[in-house]
Amino acid sequence: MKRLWAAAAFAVFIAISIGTYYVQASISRLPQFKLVKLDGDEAEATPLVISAQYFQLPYQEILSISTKDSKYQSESSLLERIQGTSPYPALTREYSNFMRGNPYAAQYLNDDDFLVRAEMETVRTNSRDGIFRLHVAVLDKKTNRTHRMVTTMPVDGPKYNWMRTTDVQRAGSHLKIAVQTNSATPDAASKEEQHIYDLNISDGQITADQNISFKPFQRPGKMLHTSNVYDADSTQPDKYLLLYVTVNGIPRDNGAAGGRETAVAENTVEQEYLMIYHYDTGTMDFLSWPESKPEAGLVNEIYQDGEYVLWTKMNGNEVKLKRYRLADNQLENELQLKKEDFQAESISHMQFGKNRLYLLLKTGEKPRVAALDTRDGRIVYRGEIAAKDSNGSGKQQLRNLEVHGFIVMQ
Amino acid sequence: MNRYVKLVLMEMHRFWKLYAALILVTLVSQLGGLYLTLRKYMNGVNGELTLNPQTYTDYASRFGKLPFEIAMSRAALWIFGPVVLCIAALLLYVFLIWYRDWLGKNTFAYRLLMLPTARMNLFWSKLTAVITFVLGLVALQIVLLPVHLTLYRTLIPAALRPAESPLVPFVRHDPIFRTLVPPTFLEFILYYGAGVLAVTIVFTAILLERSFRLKGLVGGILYTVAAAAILVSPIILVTSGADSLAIYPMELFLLELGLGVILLAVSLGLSRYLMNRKITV
Repeated sequence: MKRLWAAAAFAVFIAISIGTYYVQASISRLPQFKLVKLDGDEAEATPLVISAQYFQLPYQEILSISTKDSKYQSESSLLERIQGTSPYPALTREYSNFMRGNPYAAQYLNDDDFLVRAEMETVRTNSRDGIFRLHVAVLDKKTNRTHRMVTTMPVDGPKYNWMRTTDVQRAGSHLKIAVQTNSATPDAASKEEQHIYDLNISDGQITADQNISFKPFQRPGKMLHTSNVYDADSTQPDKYLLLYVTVNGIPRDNGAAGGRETAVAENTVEQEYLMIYHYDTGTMDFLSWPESKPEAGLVNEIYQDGEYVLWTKMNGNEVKLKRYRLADNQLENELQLKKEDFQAESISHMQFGKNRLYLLLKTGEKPRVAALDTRDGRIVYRGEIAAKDSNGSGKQQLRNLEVHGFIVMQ
Repeated sequence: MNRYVKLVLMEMHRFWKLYAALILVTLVSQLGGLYLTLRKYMNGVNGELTLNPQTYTDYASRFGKLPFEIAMSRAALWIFGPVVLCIAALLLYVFLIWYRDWLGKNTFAYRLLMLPTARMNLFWSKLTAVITFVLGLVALQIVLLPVHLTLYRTLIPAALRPAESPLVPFVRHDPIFRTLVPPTFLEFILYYGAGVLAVTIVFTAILLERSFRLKGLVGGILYTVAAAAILVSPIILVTSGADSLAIYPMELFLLELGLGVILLAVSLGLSRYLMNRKITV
């Protein structure tokens, strides 16, 4: 009987200790913050999620702050961590079977009739060359049937180091698939190309390959680099493919160990363009920032907002924005905003939304956010991060908070 | 009192001296180690203050304060040494709990198998004893943490330590304590549930060996390897990007959970068969 009581007491000790810890852990919360309105429309800030770090030495806690509350990474539940995040949450919810696989490696098109996925598979033959297979899946929304195609990319042209899909659009019974390629030329300068492949949906055959010419930008002894322009919803049908093209000096090997890496790091952008490819006509136009040489120290951001493209340059003191109409490449309006316009010490980050430019501002202890209408430069919202605990410890909590950036949830 | 409870009490009684020794080693090492570490730190501080007379506040502004977490990491060998020792001892005990019944001067297993009760009660009692001892050491660690904190507050003057030293963030961030006490209760159930599954699989392998000797040993090893492969293969297939297993993380989690339950059921079923039909002394 004595043994039984001892064992029972031991079991009670285990249950109470572990139970007490988890009760304490569930009620022990890290400091809470939220984005509060100073003026303007509160709804403008609803899609904003600010990423920050809270310093509680010796720990640094990663958190996100919205207009409702803050959420710490270390306090997220197991199920939240397992679930993770998807770049296309709405499509994943609605077409969960079709959306299986790595969504980051593929391009999607979601129109009224079809949901299309295009992904390039690389089969390495050696360290430089490879065979590339284009995997395309088309979901017919009316019949709910999926048609899958695999096409080995033609190899009669130059040998490519890599190929990747950058966009997919539909033209009737054909798909237009934008593919970026890179081939190593004998002078060791890598050569990028942008192809538009025409693929017949019914048989998966490539019927045309348009190599977009970068000749207007090519200069002797210079290297071109292209990158895609950020589009908030890249799955929607689009009439344009936008590419940011920079003309760079070819890096020279200085002969030192690891010299090439050093030279690449010193490589500077000499000219920059925005190339607009029209899917319907197969033609292209280009825009250039008025200055002949890019200004040093300015962060370059380009954003496609439906039928418009916003080309912005920012440093801590000011933001310059040009808004072009894509249909005819005409400048619709331009803005120049200085930190003084927001009573801020500096402008640290910018993000875009539909007709909106969001700015993250440094002002004393409380980081602030401003939202502008890109059509007329009007400030439609101003807000700041505040500690939910508004007493003395709230001020200390704000001092321990370091804001890193923000995103706009679509 | 039913047979199962009696068998559990017997198993616990047979191990309690060694278990008490483990607890004692943990107490002495952790409390003594932390005490010595903090004394050494204070001796250093006082030595500096003797050479350059100033207050603790001045010292803290020059050299910084000593947070509880840093104090614990300085005493890491004293704190985690006994934790590792306890884990090793309990791993060994998983095997010892069966083999000591067969080995030694008297074949105690013969008497156990002849008891007028279901033979699976033997299996359950041994499993219960292992789980209880593991959770007992986890509970001890949880209880010891506030004691460590009190010792730290007693030995380190307020001017040399931060205003707050919350325990929950410490447990959440420390790699060893985080493993012993997972951040959420659901994870606690899952992690320790996986531990129960592992012990059950090893028990089944031991019963295979006890039933078929050398052939059983090979079978037991193969069974353990196969069970591990079944559990790990979906994760490997998913992380390798195989198209054949393009599933969502939540589906993978449920698949693993399902495989775990199936393996547990198979192990228990096989163990029951071996205990009732095949095991020999």
